[in-house]
Amino acid sequence: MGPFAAFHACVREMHFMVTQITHDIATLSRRRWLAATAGLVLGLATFSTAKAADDTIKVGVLHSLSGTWPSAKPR
Amino acid sequence: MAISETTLKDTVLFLIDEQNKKGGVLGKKLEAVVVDPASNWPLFAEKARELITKNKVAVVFGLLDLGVAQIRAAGVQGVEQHPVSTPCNTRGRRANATCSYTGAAPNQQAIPAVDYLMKDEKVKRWVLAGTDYVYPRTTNKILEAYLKSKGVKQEDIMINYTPFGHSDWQTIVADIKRVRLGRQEDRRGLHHHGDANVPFYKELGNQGVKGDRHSGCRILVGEEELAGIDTKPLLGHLAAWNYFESIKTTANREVHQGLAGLPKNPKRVTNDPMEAHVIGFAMWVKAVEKVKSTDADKVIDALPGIEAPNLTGASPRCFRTTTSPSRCSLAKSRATASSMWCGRPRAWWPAMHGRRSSRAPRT
Repeated sequence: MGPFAAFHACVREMHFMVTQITHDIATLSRRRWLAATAGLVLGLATFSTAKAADDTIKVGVLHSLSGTWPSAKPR
Repeated sequence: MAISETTLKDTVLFLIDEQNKKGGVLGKKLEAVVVDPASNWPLFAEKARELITKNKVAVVFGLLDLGVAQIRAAGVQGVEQHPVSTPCNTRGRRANATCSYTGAAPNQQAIPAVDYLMKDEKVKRWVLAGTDYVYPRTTNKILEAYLKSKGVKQEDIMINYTPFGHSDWQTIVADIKRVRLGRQEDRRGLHHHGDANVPFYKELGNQGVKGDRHSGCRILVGEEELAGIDTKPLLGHLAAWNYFESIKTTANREVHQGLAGLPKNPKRVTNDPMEAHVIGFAMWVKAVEKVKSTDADKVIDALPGIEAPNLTGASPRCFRTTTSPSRCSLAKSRATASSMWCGRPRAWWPAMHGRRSSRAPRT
């Protein structure tokens, strides 16, 4: 291997390393971004659900909508 | 139960809708959570538990007097600390600080009706009849003691109970007619409760028992029952309750029109338990606004003493039970009854526990 070939091999290796690092950083950033986005969406959903629940007062309605008079009655 | 309670569910939904149109309560919209106990006593407890512990409702509208007893007996956690408003008649002998009974107790309905029949109809012999469960038995026990305190002899009081779903009304109506034939000079009152109103009315018509000669008076019968039968043979029979649709007030007309406008049943009639829900709902809203919170303890503490207008011009106050004036009505054609008399609530407990008793004893 001549000196040029060795130099090119070294450059390719460096380029590969830089590319790999960049890729790793990009992957990490994308993961972080996805995680952050998911967290944000989840947080907003939870917040809006809690807010919606907080904006209403639940009123229970307990009436028989089926059946006839009970066969066994309390005394 | 489903027939009458479906209209009560619709009434609460109507009231919630009307309240939301006014902006809700404390700036928040009301959200109904409807459950179906399917006329099954144990299921009442289960559904009450579901509403309170799972759905976290602020208040429960519904139940019957017995339903409250059932969920209490089942040990539903939180019920004893939760506001419950029930629109049905109560025996008035059981106090529960968390439960508002907006239906009539015997002193607000049966006793004023007896007073009316004694004084105006000159009734001397009495038939106390009812379906065999705790409310008619307790009411008749109170009425029997009250009648005796008024000088009525034991032999002039006939008491009869029939099981749920009873169908042989011929014998009972014949027995009642026999009482009349035995003492031609007397007229008599009659009270009936439970699920028996419709078949009982029909049999009265079949046997030609006319209202003008019979002086019968039913409690716990209203427009809804009359809507299901031919009312022609029943003209002249009396009924006693705290509310009748035919009473002419602006509030009554507005609520009646609102409920009749529901798409499911444009021919809907209004009745006493529906009015009781109107009262109970208004009381709860007032209590929440008074304490500026839906916290159960605060609302329960605020409820006693709160007044809310009913649909017929009075203003019942929340105590152990609400105190509504009693009304006696004459059955008319179409599913209505005309109000002909209005009486004040009367204490029943002196007749059973002595004149010195100033308040109803707990049982």
